[in-house]
Amino acid sequence: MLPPEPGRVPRTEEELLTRVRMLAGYTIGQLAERLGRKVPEETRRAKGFFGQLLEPVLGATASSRSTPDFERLGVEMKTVPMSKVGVPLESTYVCTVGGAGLETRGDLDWGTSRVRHKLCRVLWVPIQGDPTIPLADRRIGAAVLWTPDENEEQLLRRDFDELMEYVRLGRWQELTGHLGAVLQVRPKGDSGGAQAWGVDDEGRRAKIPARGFYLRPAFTGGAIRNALNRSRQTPSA
Amino acid sequence: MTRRYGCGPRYGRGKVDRRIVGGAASRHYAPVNRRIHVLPDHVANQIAAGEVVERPESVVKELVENALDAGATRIRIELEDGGQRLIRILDDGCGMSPDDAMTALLRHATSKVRVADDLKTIETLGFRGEALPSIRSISRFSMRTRERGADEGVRIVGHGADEPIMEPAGGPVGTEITVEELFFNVPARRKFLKQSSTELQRIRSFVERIALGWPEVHFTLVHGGKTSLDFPADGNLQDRIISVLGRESCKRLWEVELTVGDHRVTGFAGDPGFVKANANWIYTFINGRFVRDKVIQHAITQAYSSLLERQQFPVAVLFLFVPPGSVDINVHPTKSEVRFVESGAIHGLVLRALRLMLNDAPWGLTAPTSLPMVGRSSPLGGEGTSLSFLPLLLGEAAPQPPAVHAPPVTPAWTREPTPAPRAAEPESAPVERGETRGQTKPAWRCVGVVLGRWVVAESPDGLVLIDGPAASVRVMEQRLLRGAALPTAPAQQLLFPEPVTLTPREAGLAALPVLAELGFAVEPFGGGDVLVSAVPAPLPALEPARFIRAAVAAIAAGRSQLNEVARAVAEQAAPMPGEPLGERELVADLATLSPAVLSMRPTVITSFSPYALERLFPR
Repeated sequence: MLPPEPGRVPRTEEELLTRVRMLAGYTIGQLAERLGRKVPEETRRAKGFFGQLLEPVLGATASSRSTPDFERLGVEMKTVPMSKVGVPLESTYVCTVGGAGLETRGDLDWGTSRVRHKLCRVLWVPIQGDPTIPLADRRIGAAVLWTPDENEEQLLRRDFDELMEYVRLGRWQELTGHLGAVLQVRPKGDSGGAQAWGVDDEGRRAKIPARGFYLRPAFTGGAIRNALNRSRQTPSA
Repeated sequence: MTRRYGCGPRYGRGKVDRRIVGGAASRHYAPVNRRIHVLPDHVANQIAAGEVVERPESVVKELVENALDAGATRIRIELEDGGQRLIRILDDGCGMSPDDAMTALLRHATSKVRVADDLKTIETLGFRGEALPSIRSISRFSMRTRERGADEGVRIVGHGADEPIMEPAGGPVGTEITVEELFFNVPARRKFLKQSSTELQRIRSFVERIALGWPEVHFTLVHGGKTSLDFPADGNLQDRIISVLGRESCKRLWEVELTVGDHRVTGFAGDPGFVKANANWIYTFINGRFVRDKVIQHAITQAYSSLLERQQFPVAVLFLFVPPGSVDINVHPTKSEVRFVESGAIHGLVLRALRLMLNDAPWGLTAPTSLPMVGRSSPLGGEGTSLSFLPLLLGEAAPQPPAVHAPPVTPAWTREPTPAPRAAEPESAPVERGETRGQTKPAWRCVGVVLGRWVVAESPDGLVLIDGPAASVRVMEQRLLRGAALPTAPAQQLLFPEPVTLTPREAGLAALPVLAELGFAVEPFGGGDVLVSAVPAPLPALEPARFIRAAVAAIAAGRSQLNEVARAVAEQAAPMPGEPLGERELVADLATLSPAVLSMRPTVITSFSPYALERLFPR
């Protein structure tokens, strides 16, 4: 059976879920062939490829903009390479950190931050991540919709507040990937040494290495498990 | 006096630094005619505390090291709010006399160093005599201690700059130190503390580190009344490593040992496929003291350099034993840095030891079954050089000594993942699971396995002999049928739904309701393919295709009743010859089945009453 063709913009979450579940079991190669795309040979070049492949099929609208992938529904899509036993194999990128006009964008406060905005409703799409499987043969898994529960949001917020303390004071050197239990800040994987404007530790504008917020794999794995458990209790899911 | 600004790099091309110098800043630095005087003790202690006590972890470190130096075999660490509200360390060490206890609170008071030459041969973890007065100066501090052989102990209370008050107190031999409201009188320092979970994590990491270095000591960490870590005294490094790093990690660790002259390195290091994204999994100890030393770290990284990518770090637990005179540990108050007299020799020792292990270990091959291979000469043939290629974890049971009957071991990164071994439990522990399922059956006790197949158990009625694989099928079949009897069979949704290629006829059979009754979710996937998105909860979720094919084959062969299909599926889940039987769980599960089920054909179990056993041995 061929994977579904590119679809229109979904109007409801149920429509989105139905469509994404139709992709479960297909390989990346099958989907790419359907869309006339070439699968990269190297994993390193595949950063973002899975998402770019799924977006047109599912009717995502935002592409690489900072708004949610499914703007109308307020849903962000995240593809997650996972092991066969359900453990995410890498951290999950959320959004960039730092940059000009940081204060004006309200990024310093959790309530108005892009991190919260991005994570308030997420469509997790597991992809087989076993490095022994060629990229084209990796299968798409069972997708779930997730909203952080009270406990998860508290964990995220606690880390966010701690990390933003470093950002606020321009302590970039100390802001390493070791900080944060569930959320971390580290150089962006695909940045290639890119720099962005930020504030240095003297309070002056300075070029700093581009960094991003990432969810730690253990948190993502727990979130997906929780969402799967919840979806099992819902007959329609 | 003016203060100079603008020494650092300038930002913003062509802009003039317009910040004002002098003014208010210069008034602040105006010379004041003050006399020089010696600081009061409590101020000096607070200044020292700035270096020694950075956060709750520092307090725990200093006090636990004191306990170890006092010969403790059990150390209990109690915390509240990540140690910010309360830190309590209890030990069963030698304790202190009342005079010693008071003296210990004075600055530079120690029992570990007497003359300057002692600094060259320090074998204790602490020696500076700074920890207790520093901690006392910035907290609400109390100490209860009783010396071994004394009738009673003492309790000393002293907060911050207050004079300590001593009173008699009862209690066990050893010392209990309570540190409450750390930095209560240093609000600036308190502000630098992180959230309690971060502070707790730091303390957990410390306890894990120190526990690796002291396997003969029982460490317990309790946070908010709940046990966070518990490492019973193993006395055995391998068991302690299993406790701290986990059983799965230990499957990937290999023994390292090399002695050159009076320098020795021993421990375990990971295979080249077992990598981490940071160096936190490299634990190095010098003469029992955990250190983060650049020389050793560099040697470890260099040993793996051709095997690892950038940003990949190996896993290692290495112990270096060097003459105390060849290492200076008096570099930093926290003593986490050291300096070697001959750093090149240390670097070479560690590098050689790891390269020997990496060169000679059977990477990529099935390890020999006739373990252990201890005592192989190294190709370098150094003096006293010996290597052993023992994977740290040999089988399900704790290896003491390493079990020669252990299953073949292959470095895990060369093979398919295997099910995690069950935690080692005492074999003789009676099985009580019947009770947890609300049944009233008395407990059965698993005695053991004979010839890898026959499970021997003891029931209240006598001896029970079980055909292990066949009984596993019976148990699984009954679980599947129990699930199918529910309105909705318990199922586990597969994270990666699996397409299974079948013939069109088989695909039609897979769509029959009997599979859904058992908990399978199967849907057409084009052609003869079906997509399996859920399997019954009792089944392992890793090979859904095998179960579907077995079920379809049974139906095609005319065995389409629910129990027949359940049996066909259960047969696929039974352990293969040579695989672990999980005998304790098996016996527990059998004990819950009804006699009617147990006596079904084919026979999976037979019993011998005491009378029948006696008849076997007539007197």
